[in-house]
Amino acid sequence: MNQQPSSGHGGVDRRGFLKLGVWGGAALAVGAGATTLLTGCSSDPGPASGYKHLRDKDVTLLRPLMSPLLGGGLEAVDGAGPDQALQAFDRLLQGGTDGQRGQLFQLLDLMQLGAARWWITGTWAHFEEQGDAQLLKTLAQWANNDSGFPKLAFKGLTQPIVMAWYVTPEAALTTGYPGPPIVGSGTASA
Amino acid sequence: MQDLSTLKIQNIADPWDNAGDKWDLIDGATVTGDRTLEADVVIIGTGAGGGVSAEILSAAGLKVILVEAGRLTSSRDFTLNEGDAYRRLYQEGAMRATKDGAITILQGRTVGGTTVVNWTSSFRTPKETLNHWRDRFGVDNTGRADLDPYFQRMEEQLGIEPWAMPANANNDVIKRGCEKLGWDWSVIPRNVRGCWNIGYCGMGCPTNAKQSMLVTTLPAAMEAGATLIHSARADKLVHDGTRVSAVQVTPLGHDRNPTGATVTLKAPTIIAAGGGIQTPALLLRSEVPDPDGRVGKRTFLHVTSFAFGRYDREIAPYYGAPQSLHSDQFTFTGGVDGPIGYKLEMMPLHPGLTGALLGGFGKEAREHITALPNTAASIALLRDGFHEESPGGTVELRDNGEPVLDYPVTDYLLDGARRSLSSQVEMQFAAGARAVRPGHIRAPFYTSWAQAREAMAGLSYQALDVPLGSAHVMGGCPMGDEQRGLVDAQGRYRHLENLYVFDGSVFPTSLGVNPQLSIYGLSARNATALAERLRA
Repeated sequence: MNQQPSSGHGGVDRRGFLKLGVWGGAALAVGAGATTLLTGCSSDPGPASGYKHLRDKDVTLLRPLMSPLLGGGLEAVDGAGPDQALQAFDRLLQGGTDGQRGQLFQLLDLMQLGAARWWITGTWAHFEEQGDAQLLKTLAQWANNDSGFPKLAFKGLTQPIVMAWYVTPEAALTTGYPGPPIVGSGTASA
Repeated sequence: MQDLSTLKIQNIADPWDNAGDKWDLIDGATVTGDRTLEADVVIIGTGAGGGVSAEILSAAGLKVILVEAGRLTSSRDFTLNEGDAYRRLYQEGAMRATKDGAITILQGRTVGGTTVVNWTSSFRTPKETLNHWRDRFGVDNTGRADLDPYFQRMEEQLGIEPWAMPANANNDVIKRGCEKLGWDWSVIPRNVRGCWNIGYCGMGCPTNAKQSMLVTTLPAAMEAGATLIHSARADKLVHDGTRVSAVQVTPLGHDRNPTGATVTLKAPTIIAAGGGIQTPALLLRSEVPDPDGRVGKRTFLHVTSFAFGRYDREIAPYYGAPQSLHSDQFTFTGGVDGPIGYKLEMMPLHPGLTGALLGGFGKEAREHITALPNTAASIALLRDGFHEESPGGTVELRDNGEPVLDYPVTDYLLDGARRSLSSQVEMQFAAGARAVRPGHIRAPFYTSWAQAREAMAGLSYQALDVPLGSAHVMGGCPMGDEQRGLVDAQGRYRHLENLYVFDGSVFPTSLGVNPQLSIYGLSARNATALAERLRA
């Protein structure tokens, strides 16, 4: 297991990894094999069925994290499950740009690797193979990791997912927010 | 409990109703064949700089074409749904961030630019800032005496006056906290007429009370005969190293992908008004002459730290004029170019943005967000760019030509983050908060100022420890004398004879105040002078 380059803010040699793009640099730190995973869109399978951006492998990777990440926020909405949260994430990504989404996919590709998960979250096992209690422990380890890449990955992934969930009108109402005024015909889409 | 969810907003007059019938409007999504259009002036961007310039030049009888990458949306489209707003009205769907992910950037992407989604705070440029530009960058004839007539003109046009209604409970934190501590505070001037005080400035004003470019200068320009092409991205300036001959534009479909056509805009005068990040990116893509390699450098953000207070009383931070009080207690206390100064304001909280800013996960994060009705959020705008250890960021291009801002979070900036968090926590406790949490990933909600002060002294301050944001992108194409400026004080690009830059990218530093009125005033001055020269 290579260690991340030493020194700099949060243990990140910023200039070094930025040359490769954030996650490309992270892949180098995880191991040379990982870089082949991040070499562009030629093998990109396209979006999963019912999604505009997230791919099957992303949906499989992220689905187990939704409930423990949102900590009851999912269950607070009648009939909602992890797939609704992922759909919300996918809708949020619709506002983004190709280059920006490309960065996210690089991170998600990286996290398919056991070595990267170990480095970033402290657990080797795929999230699918971890129970809810273990996933909470994984999230806690990840959130408390003081190294630069894990911190960046935690923020870069969890922040948009949480935002995507709470911009949905259904989830917004579970925060105590009474909702917006009614405009025009009053039909607001999610 | 405050509840506006049954309030009905209907029958609002919208200047863009039937716009296609009365004005020369082109939706890029419908353009599938190549086209060439000609005018006296092409303006790239329809925000604060582009809108003001378009009105002035059109009124002078010049034929103007405006080109805008965002789509035309107006009050009838503003659903007040937070997700809709981010997707439709913000750069990168409100997920824009600096290259290393440390600073989130909220910037508009729609007809009217950021003026459609800003929180209406309207300040004249501080004299300290203008004097610094004169002394350090050789910006001539741009002092307060030079600009005040244009500030006054824009204030009158846009209804800018100190907010006369009582502040909402969120903003009242500034008054209560600062009064108790003996700190400066005052009322924010806002660009509104007949404001309903509902609090949705950031999602597009549904009542057209906000005097954004969308409902003021742009309709005036259209009425005077301007052409607007929206959903059309200016990709490149075509030039021969001395003059720009055309702007190469890619029309975008409803999905924001290119339609496959190319629109060529030709004019003897070209104005770049895409704002910070976008204008420098256009110049970089165009490989304009730039002998000292300055394009995109010194981009500033008013890097912003946050603190959340929990109160026994209801705050309802999602309702009411989002910004109405501010404090300059710390804006210039260290001198104009000393340790970084910061302006204190409040920010509105809607569930999505709140969830993202609170961070964390699981039960604790859920507990925080479900306290939303009793939560207030203060912000500190750090005045970047005035000190040699605050060089700002550099706009770069991704392989596909999209811009990305590389903005290193320096120790100088982190020192400001530390001090500004301390001020905010102190202010919120003084305002009666039961618990306050500084925006720091390792900080909990503290229950007293004494406890917070002691615990915060032990926190580490590194780039990703402190969630930082920005809603003010400035610089990247600075005004200045021949040695230091890419454009002169009149906004003329020094290395291409018919290219002007009329937007916030010309600021040589940040401002120390929310930027819209500075952009309006400077653009009005420079567009007026340009109109006179072109008609001479």
